[in-house]
Amino acid sequence: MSDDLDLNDLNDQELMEQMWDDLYDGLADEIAEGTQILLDRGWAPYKVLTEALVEGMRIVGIDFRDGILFVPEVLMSANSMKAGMAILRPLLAESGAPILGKFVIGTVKGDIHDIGKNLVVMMMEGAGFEVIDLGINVDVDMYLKSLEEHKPEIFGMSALLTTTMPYMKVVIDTMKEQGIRDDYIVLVGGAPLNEEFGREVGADAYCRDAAVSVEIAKELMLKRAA
Amino acid sequence: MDKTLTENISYCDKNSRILIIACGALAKEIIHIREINNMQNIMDIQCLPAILHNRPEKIPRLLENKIIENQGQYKTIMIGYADCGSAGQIQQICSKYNVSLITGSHCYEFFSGTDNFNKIQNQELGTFYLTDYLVRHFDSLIIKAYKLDKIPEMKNMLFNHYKKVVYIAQTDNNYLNEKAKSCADFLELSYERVITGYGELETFIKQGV
Repeated sequence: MSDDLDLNDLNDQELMEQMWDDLYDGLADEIAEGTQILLDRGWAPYKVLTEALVEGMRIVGIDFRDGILFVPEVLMSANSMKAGMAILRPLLAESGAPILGKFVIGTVKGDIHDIGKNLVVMMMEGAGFEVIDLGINVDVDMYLKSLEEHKPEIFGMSALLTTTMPYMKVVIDTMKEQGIRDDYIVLVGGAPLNEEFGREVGADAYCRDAAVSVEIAKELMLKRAA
Repeated sequence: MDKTLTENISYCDKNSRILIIACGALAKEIIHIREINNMQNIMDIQCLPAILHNRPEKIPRLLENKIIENQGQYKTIMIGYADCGSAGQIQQICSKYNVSLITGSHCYEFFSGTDNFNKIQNQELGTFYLTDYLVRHFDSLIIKAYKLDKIPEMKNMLFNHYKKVVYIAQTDNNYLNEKAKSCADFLELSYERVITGYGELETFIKQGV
């Protein structure tokens, strides 16, 4: 964004489009400012979320998927989205804005790699899911405890290492033993995984990247509702 | 990126019977293995750009093109890649064209040997690995590619959970050791060097021959 551009001078449509650009460029302060301006103009928090932030992140997601943007750019976009969400989150809760569903996610035991997982968290939150992020190095007990506590519709696991990805099967097998596997849509993702692995461990779907995760999550939610 | 790594490195004519299509990050090592084993007259080497280390999803298609380009011209084609973050796609390409690739997940593993690598990994989950190539090209492949120089907070976003750098060294080289230490200092992580030599890369090449 140009230094001399005052976001207050833009009309709603221009501001929204400027925010898409600022999200793309990873400008957190501008996103926070734009979010506040739209709220001050009487926009409902949910409208700001969906029309300004989610749409902006959708564009980022497409360019990430197509290899135009690389990890650092997307992380900065996600960081900017976070700045907007920090303002919107309490207001969304107060206003009873609709949520698409609950999503519990964590990186599996033995694995500290969370870049992909963090992108998924941000994209899912941006898409309107309530996300419970368990962090890294999550063991089966912590996963199950969280499922019991939060009762999400969707449960996600990520791994970056070939040595840690088999742990996903341990978790899903434990869910089967306890008779709770089919209570959840289970998504798995991470660089060394593929669709075949997803099927083998008993997940509902393998998600190639953060943008795809959102599409698959929505699709499976619709299927389940039908 | 070193321009030579994107080009064919061929020391013998097309009568050579073996072609290795490898990651550019292995070019120097493969050339040396070929030399010390006197295989110059029976082996050609072609490399894909080493920068694909950061974009593994692009490797399978480029690798397949390279195999097709050379198919029928060599008695044997070998692939100087492990899985390398391709989610099994490199293996699928190799199976499709009946060519062999290196066993393992990535170069850290085949340089170290799987058991040894697992030991290193289990000692500290938050380990960031370097090889000779990655030490030499740390500035371009890590600092610049991930914008650590331009976006200060990126270092924390990417390396927050790492505790240690392990330099899996192919050569006992003081300059590289010092440079690897400075990489660890830059990332604010502790440092260890493990000299592995060429590990299973050399075994793989010799077996192919």
